[in-house]
Amino acid sequence: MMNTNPGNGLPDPSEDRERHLLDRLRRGDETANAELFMLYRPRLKRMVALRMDRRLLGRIDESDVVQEAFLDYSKRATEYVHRDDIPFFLWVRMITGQKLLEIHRRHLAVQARDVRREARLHVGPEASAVSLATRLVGNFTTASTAARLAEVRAILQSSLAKLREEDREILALRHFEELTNHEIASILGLSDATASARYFGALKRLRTELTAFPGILDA
Amino acid sequence: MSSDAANKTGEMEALLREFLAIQRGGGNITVEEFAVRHPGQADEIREYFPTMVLLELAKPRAEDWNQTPTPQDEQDPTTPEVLDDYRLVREIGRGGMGVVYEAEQISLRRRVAIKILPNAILSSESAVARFQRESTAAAILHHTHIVPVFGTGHSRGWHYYVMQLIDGRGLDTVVRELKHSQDLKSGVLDLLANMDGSSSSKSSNQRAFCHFVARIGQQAAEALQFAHDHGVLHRDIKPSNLLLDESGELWITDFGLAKLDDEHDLTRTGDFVGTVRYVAPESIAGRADSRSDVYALGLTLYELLALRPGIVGDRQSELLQNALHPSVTPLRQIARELPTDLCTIIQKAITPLPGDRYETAGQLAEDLQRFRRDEPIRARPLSPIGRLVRWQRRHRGLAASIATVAVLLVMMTAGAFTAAIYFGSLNRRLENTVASLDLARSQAESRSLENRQLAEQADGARELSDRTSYRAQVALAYNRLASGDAPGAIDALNRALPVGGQPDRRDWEWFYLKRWYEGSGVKLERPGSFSGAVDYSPDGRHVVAAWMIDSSRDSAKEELRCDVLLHDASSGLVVERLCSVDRPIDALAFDPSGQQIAVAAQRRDIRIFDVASKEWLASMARPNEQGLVVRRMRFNPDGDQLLAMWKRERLGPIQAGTALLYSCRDGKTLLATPAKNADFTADGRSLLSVSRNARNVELTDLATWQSNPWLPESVYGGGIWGITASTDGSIVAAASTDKVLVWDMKSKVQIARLLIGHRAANITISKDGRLITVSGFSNNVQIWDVARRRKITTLLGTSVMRTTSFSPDGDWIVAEDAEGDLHRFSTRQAASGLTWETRSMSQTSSMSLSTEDRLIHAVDTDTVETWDSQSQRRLRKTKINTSTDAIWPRFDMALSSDGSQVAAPMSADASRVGIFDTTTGEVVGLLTGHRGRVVHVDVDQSGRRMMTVSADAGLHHVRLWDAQAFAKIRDFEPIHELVAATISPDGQLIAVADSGNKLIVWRADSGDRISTIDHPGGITCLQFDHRGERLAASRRDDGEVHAWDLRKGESLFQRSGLQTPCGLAWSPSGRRLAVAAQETVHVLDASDGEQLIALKKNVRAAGTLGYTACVIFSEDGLRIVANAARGEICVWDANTISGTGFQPVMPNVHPKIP
Repeated sequence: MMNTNPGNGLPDPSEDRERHLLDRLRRGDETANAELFMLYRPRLKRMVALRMDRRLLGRIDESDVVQEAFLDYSKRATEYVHRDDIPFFLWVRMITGQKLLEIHRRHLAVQARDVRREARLHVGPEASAVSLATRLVGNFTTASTAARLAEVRAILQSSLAKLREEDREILALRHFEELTNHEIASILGLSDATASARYFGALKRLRTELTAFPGILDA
Repeated sequence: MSSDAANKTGEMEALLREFLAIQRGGGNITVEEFAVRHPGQADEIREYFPTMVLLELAKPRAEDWNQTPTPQDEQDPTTPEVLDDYRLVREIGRGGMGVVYEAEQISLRRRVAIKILPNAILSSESAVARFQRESTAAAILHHTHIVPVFGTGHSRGWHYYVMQLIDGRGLDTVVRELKHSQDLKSGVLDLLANMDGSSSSKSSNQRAFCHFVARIGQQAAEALQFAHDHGVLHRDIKPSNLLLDESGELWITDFGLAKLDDEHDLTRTGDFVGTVRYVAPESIAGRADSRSDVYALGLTLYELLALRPGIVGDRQSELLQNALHPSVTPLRQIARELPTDLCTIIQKAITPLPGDRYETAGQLAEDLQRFRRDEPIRARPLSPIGRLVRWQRRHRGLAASIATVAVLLVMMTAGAFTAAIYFGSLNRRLENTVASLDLARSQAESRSLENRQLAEQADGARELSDRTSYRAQVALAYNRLASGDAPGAIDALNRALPVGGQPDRRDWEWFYLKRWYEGSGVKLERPGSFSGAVDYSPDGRHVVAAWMIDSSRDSAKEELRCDVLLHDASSGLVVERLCSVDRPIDALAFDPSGQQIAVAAQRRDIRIFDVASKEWLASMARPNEQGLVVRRMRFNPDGDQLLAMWKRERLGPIQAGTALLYSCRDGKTLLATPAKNADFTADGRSLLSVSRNARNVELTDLATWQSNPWLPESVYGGGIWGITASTDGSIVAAASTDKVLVWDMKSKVQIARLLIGHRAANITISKDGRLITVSGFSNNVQIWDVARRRKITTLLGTSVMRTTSFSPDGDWIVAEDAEGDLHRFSTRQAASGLTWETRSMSQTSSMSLSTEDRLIHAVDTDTVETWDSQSQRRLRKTKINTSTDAIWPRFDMALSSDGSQVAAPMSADASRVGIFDTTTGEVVGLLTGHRGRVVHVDVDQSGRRMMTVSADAGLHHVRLWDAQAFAKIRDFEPIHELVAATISPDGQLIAVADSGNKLIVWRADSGDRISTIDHPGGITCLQFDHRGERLAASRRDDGEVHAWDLRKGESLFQRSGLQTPCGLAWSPSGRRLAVAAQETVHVLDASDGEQLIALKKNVRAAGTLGYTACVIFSEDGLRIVANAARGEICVWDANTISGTGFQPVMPNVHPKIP
């Protein structure tokens, strides 16, 4: 989503609100801590759901991960006051991502020194084709999901699975986690323009994959 | 990146934002319309936007996040497009061993099939080496029915395997198609019939099909024989590995791949579900040979003919068990029209025992060919004798299963109770074994119909398997309860119930676990996630709780909703939705009438809700300070004032806050005081509050608004965090750093210091002031008995700093567990047993139960104490003038079974035994004339006869007494170094063990030796059963218990591996034997000594000095009482606690001996 309101029914996390809370935090008002975090809780939960290893489904709830992340966060909240290199949401997202990686390690005995994963700290565990598939087609029995949607999702899932990881990641960040281009650029350490170019590149490659399903893009 | 390109993406981003803004704003605009609007970028829009729209359309919605999706196949699908010389064209299949692609070999411009192996399988170097070795071996197999392997490769981290591309289908597809389409079936049959060159009339379809199956079976068997001749086993023959090409020829694929997975547990992943179906039992055990391939081929052909798998099962454990102990429905029973010979061939191929199968695949091929030519086949249906032999072998398998359970049970008792993971794997193994036992039993049942001889064996097997199965279920139930899985536990208990005409095997342990289950709590229905607020209704019938509900399913808009729901306290079910709030609720409180509820929602004023009218009444303003939430609320006893503790919304250390007192009539704030915590006094006239610096407790008179320190500052020590008063006005409890301090409200005398070991965040007192719950940050909720200053239990899995609420009677508590479920726990029979300290009794050497099993008498060195087991209060302590000079464990004191008298050597003269009245301590009789000091005293159940042993210069003298006349009845032959002795409950038999490894049983009346048994020595304790028919002995230093059948004069069982077993008790039913060991009471099956349950004593310090481990069964067989090393009394009760009127009745309770 491009705008900043994820529309989740919680108070509008507009930049003003965030700035106001951050100001309070900087002034030493620690009560702003939790409120700040709560602003982004639904989005963090979504991020966790998207990236949680499928083997942990049913064992660990996204809320628990976010809750654990909150504990880490509250220990480190004052740390953020002195940072200006990263937007607040991305910072808590990073903490949550680290927590999720830690949980993966704890429960799945994932090698702690996996260099590839260490390098992903700012992104969190990858939105792997499998975890996407789980989210996209894992629920096709839901009554509320129309058959058409189920079909689209199935096709999209198989097409996403054929993309490179970088492409899949940027599409997931943008559309499923609803980060802005600027936020994505910040996470990935790219310029806005480069992130944008990568995004359109990924979109293009996804389109190529989707051409295998005539009519899917005509909707 | 060029600036042009940057500009361009910037432009596109802007367009994207615009488009999405329109769409999200409800504007219905298509990509095409948008493109028309922006002619300059129309092409880019048409190129990119439809894909983006699709992503937006398909993105997971809120409802998707909140469901737990079913785990999907675990396969990394990101595969390269080109591998070395091969360009992947399309995926043509996938399975546990990888994904198969159609590919083009670039250099040769030919089409091939490439199988890319999952990295997980080739995770080690040895696996890679094996893969290369095996695939090389497979590559040498050139046979008309084996898919040629061109080679293997390794590129960019991928291992692959190149094969000839076969245009055709796997037999799994063929089976599926045949099954689902009758038309297709006849079509295929026609085709096949044509292929076989025979006519295609309907009547001959079946025959043609059978011949077709025989033909491809023969081809496969020949191919297998060829491979076996070259030393290559396939190991994974199954329908999907047999390909049927378009000309009807069969090809075997995937040679040499299955072995790659040797190192992997067959049960590891779902990938193997399909494979396990066809694996021969000996393969699972790791002893595959060429006959295993024959078996798998047989099952494949079976499936083709029956159109259903031979080995069935949905769950993995089930499937594995069925594969291990195959019981395939004979083909003829499925399809009567199938030719007998073909059925016989298939049945022979799929015989569970390799020795009964075709010896080679070639023989199978030959028989199939004979069938096709209508020649007599070699295979013969099994004769009844053959079946008998098979049954016996099967029986051996059953015995092996039973042995497995036995081993698992032994492992469980080996003290490995600590790791939950261990429990998990043990449970799975037990579950698997139980499944196989169930199967074995059903087989035993069906076989028993075949003939009587078999039936007798089957009955024996069934008996054994039933008994073992019962034990396994009990063990499962125990493990599940210990790991907090109450539903799983009740399931296991239910499975241990007798079915049909089976004997009821339940005894003490079953009822005990049932009771434990009942005490483990009822889970409240969970409609959403718990928001942290719960309260018991004043009448104890309901619980009100606040739940966050995901309402996005009801409405398009994702919104937050918190429901206040009324639950039935006993069933946990939701009775009624009272109200909803659009934000999380932090606290709820019932008023004393139960008619109104105070609701504190985040960033909202507190409001009062009327239960009957469903209306919001008063509203109470929150404090001006930002970021405060209500931690707890309480009404005063009159219900006209509400106290709310406002604190900063933050997890972690307890925050200072503000206590606000409101009037319920108008909602006005009566008092606002800075405080860490506050509570009403019992009469509601005053307020107790902890100052913000945690140093002071102030008492504020609510009439005069005067505040005074309640106690001098110094008494609180390290600071006070929370305070609460019991509603009966008796006590005040305060949470301090690592303890809870309890004062008597009136006298202000500190009555208890409960060392809870961590900082308490939340304390609740039951309404009668008897119990206190303490919860802290990431610590389980503890329940403490105030009067006895001891922890009753820790509610496992409740590691959340959240509200707990007592029922008015204090018998129940509602608490949140780590999973976010609310449970109602019983505080009366908390967890698995009841233990209390006697403090005074450190050297208990004899115990008895009396007065309807309520009073426990225990004798220490020179005192007898009587305890009420229900209140755990000591009723009486009587001094007795006995000898304190004894060797431990000591057996020279004996309580009568009703606890009214105790016999023990006198302090002045240990050669005289005094009979003491346990109420007065008076000596009511003396047994005199012993030679030397008395070292052993025992009394029969009626208290009429006693036995004494005195030691005199290496000889022990055994004497029988009339315990009422205090007169000697007879002496027995002197024993050289007697080590243990006992009298039977009916007083008719006496048993002694000497150091010369002889166990001697005398008839008490005649003094005749009726039995002499050799024993291994070192006997500590002896005990007759209630009928005097069996004798049990413990051997403390060897950790063993023996039992003998005295009538048959033979050993019943010998059980080892116990930790210093000492006291013994037969259950009144005679079916159980309880053994008191160091830290555990073991309950054994009296028929074979197998353990049913191990009861852990609550032992804080180990040590055997001055400790005689005793154990007794109550007369109704419902309770086991034992002593622990430091003067604790432990009671394990099998009586029901649920109050539903269900009373367990112990089977065959032996009548009390008069």
